[in-house]
Amino acid sequence: MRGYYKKWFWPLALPGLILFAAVVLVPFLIGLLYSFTAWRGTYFVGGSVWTSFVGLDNYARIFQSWQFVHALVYTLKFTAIAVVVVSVSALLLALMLDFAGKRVGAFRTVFFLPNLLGGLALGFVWQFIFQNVFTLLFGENGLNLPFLTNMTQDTTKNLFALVIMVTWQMAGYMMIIFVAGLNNIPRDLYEAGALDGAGGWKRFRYITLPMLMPSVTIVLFLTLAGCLKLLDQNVALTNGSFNTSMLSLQILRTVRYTQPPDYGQAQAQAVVFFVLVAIIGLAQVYITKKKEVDA
Amino acid sequence: MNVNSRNRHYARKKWTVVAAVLTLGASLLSGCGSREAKAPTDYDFYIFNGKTENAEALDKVVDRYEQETGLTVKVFSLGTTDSAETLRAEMNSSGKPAIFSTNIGGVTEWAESGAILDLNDASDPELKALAEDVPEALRLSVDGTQNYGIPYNIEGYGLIVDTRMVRDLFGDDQTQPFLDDFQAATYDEFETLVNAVGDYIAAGTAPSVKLNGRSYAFASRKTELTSRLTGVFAEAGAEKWTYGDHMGNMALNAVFGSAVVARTATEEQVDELQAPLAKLARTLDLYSTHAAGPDGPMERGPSYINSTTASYDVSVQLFSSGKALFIKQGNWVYPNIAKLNTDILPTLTFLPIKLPLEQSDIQVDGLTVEKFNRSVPEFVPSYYAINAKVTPREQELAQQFLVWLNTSEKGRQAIVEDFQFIPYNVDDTVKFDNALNNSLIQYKLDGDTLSNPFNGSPAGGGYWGQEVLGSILQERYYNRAGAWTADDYETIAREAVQGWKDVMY
Amino acid sequence: MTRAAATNAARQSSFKLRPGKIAVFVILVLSALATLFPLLFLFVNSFKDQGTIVAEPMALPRSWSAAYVSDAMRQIHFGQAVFITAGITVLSVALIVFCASMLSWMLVRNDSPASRIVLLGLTAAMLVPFQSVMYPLIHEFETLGLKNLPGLILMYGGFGLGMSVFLYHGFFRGVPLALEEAALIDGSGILGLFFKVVFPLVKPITVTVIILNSLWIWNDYLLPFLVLGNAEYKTLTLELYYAKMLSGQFSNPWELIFPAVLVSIIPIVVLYLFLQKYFIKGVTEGAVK
Repeated sequence: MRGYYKKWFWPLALPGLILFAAVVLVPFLIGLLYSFTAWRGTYFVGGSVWTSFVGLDNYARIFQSWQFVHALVYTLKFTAIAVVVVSVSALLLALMLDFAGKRVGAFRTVFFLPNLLGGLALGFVWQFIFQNVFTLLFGENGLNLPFLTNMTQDTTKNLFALVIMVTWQMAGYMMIIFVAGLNNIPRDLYEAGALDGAGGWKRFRYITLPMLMPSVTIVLFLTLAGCLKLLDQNVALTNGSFNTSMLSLQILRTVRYTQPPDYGQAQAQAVVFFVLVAIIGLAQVYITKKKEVDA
Repeated sequence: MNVNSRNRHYARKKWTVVAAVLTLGASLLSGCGSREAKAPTDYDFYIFNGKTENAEALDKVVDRYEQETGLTVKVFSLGTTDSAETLRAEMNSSGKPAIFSTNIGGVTEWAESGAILDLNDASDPELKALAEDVPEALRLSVDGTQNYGIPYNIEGYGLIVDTRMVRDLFGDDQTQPFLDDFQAATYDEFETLVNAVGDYIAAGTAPSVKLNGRSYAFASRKTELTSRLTGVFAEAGAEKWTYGDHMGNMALNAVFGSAVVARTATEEQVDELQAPLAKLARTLDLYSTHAAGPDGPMERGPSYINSTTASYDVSVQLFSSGKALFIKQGNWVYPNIAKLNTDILPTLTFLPIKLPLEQSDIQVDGLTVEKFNRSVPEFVPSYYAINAKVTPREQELAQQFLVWLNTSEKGRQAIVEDFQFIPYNVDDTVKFDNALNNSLIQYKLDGDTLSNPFNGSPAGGGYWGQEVLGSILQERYYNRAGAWTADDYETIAREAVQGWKDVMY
Repeated sequence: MTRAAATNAARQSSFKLRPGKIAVFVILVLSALATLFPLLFLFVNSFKDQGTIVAEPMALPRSWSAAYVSDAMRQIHFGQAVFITAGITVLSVALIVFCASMLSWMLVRNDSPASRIVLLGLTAAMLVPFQSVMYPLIHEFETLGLKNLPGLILMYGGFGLGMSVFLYHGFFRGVPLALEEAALIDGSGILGLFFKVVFPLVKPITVTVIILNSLWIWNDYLLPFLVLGNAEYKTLTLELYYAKMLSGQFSNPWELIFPAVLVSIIPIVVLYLFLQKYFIKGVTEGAVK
């Protein structure tokens, strides 16, 4: 049997492997190579890849650019806040649906809906809402909450505008994952807990949460990756004005704001970006997986 | 079925699958060798046009050229901010354009890559001669020695005014003298005028003003036209390019005589921008405190930079409906105004933008404060360049097309009538229906023009104007209420200078 | 009474606090309204002119004239764009399902250190930001003569592979070998074995792969922008972007943008309302594995 499958390995695996190599692996390796050169998009300074080799120069310049450092910090800040807000909102929604029992299909439909819609298209709508509707509603003649007015005209406020928008878009999706996790918890556990006299909070803390850890791992992974790599919403709301570029956008701007366009520098930034996402992503999976085991 | 035959059966099937996969792989790799210059098959040469203004007209003109010559020409126009990336993609592809657009800001990239033909080495003698006739100041080059392109046209900007508004403010017989004296007036006179017009709009009365030493008294009663005014300037606070790029270019003109000088500037030269930029900030303070809104003055603050209420379109709308006396824009605004109000088209004209400079602020040889304040910036926004990496035949045909477009009767007619472009070698025989074009031609014939050193600022004009100067103004000054102080002017200038120096290498 | 229903009833009886339930219900309704607000806002403002949108964004339109909607549909070439977007999505997803399922099957059936490394590489690709491959990728496909619609489909195929192989791999491990052996003894060929026996067994995860990939491919903007740019045939998102750029490079023509966004989201919303069960199931399955 093993021999049979072995014989067929290449013919069946090859289409996928070729596709993966052509679209991800080869460009990634080429990108790695180019990040050490003075690549200008349509040519290499000096004529070829090898003559334009600049060593670690592109990498050395990354952290000299305050825009990149700012984008890095901004991305991390946003991600930290957004991951917490999205996961907690999703968990609360899931718990409420679970608590409300049957006939919650309509709510589930509504909460998941924003996830279907593109970040760019809805970003335009949200831009108008933040700029004009919020400013009207929360202005001096309205509820007078200055923090919620002109949110796209300030570095910090815009961070929260992005959090609001991303929560709106992602919470429903994560809620579905939590609902599935909640359904997998054997009800006997709650009954046992009730018999032991555990209250609502205790049941949540000692039964629900530990049993939900596999869902937490997935939700954190998806929100972390999504937030770190966020682009469309960033472009739609401010396009980087008021020092609001996140890393994805900043890399695009590096090319736009240099002449001749410094693709080598942008490529080095992208490599650093990948390392950052990979480290954070893997660390998160490692830590939450460990908690799953502990629980 | 015995085991052996089954194995053979599998083996045959296996090879079918392998063959299918290899075909897929081969199709992925096909076209690999096509990067060398190879003659195109479905057209004779290809024009990449990076300007949307003449996109439709260029198609028509090229159709005529095709009929005349029997050639097939591919044209692709794209003029948004993404055209640079698209052009790069086309330059990387097997179907490279033979003629492409670039300008002083973008030329270094193509010069360095070797994709742009120096027209000093053009194979077509007529094109070579044409290129040599391009005035020195308008030539496309990296360091002043090359001659890389044939200019599309000339554009310019200044304070656009509807002269009927001047007539209703100061009287019919005063209109022409006012326009002449305004051109010669000093910045201080201009400032007094702006404040007086502001008072007149608010109170219906204002003391008379002096321009070029002559006195102008306001009409005692507002007319139907002047009672519409809500401010002196139609501003677009959401658009950083209107002040970062265009007004920034005014300050740069005091220090750099051309884009090439700005591009090769030393740190010491960049430092010399401090005084002109501080004075520019003072001017922008004046503009933004006299901005027109839909129902009254527009105040600085969050709504001043709101992309819905303070966009380019809104500012053109305010001006077209007579809410503002001036709009600082270029001749490209003409079609936009035509869509909104055709009545004011014939009476539009350009007046110069003024800065409160002193002679010691000016570093350009032969330029005086008086001359600066009577001139408008005029420049070539885009050039036709020949791609040195297409086949010799395509290069030859591309050169012949440019010769035809710029020297033949039909070609020159196309530029003026179809494109509505001011030719770079304009003379007094060229007249347009477009009053703004005519006004720019007059400034040019009088020699009252400034240049576009802005295109020599970092990233070929693609960075400093909007991302440094524009951002400082928009994100820290226009977006809040309250007066600006002399210290603010200096801060704006200092940070704009620093932002330039930060990206010099 | 089934066991599940019994425990459910037990749980319900342990929560007798009516006020608590009402409070939760009220919060849910408020959250749902907040979630729907941007969409209702979008809907209402798709029937107003620019001036009214800016002056009274919260008011109902004076008339429900479809002029702005039909104008927007014309400007974004709605029918053509939907057709192209749907075509790209369907073909890309088919390619992903085809390649990912066969590859995962082979990786599971040929478990070895080498195949585990391949799996790790594919999984790690989920963490690669698009920015770190996009310029070389476009460059490469340009060279291959594939900077066009077929090329775009291949790119989606490659990008969707990582997550899809990960999902399939987890599922195939649970498919018993015995079934396949039995089919082989009955004399079916490898392709017959795969399509007639194995593939139907993993249908639940195929639904997941289809749903999750369709969602991002349908809405993707950057890749079509880089590959197709201003080509004649554009995806829905790209049409939207160019409509905004061309009609107001320097402003926000809301009377065009709002109805354009509205019509552009209608196909996927309608699809969702009909196939909701599969959407929810797809997300759930994808998360449990």
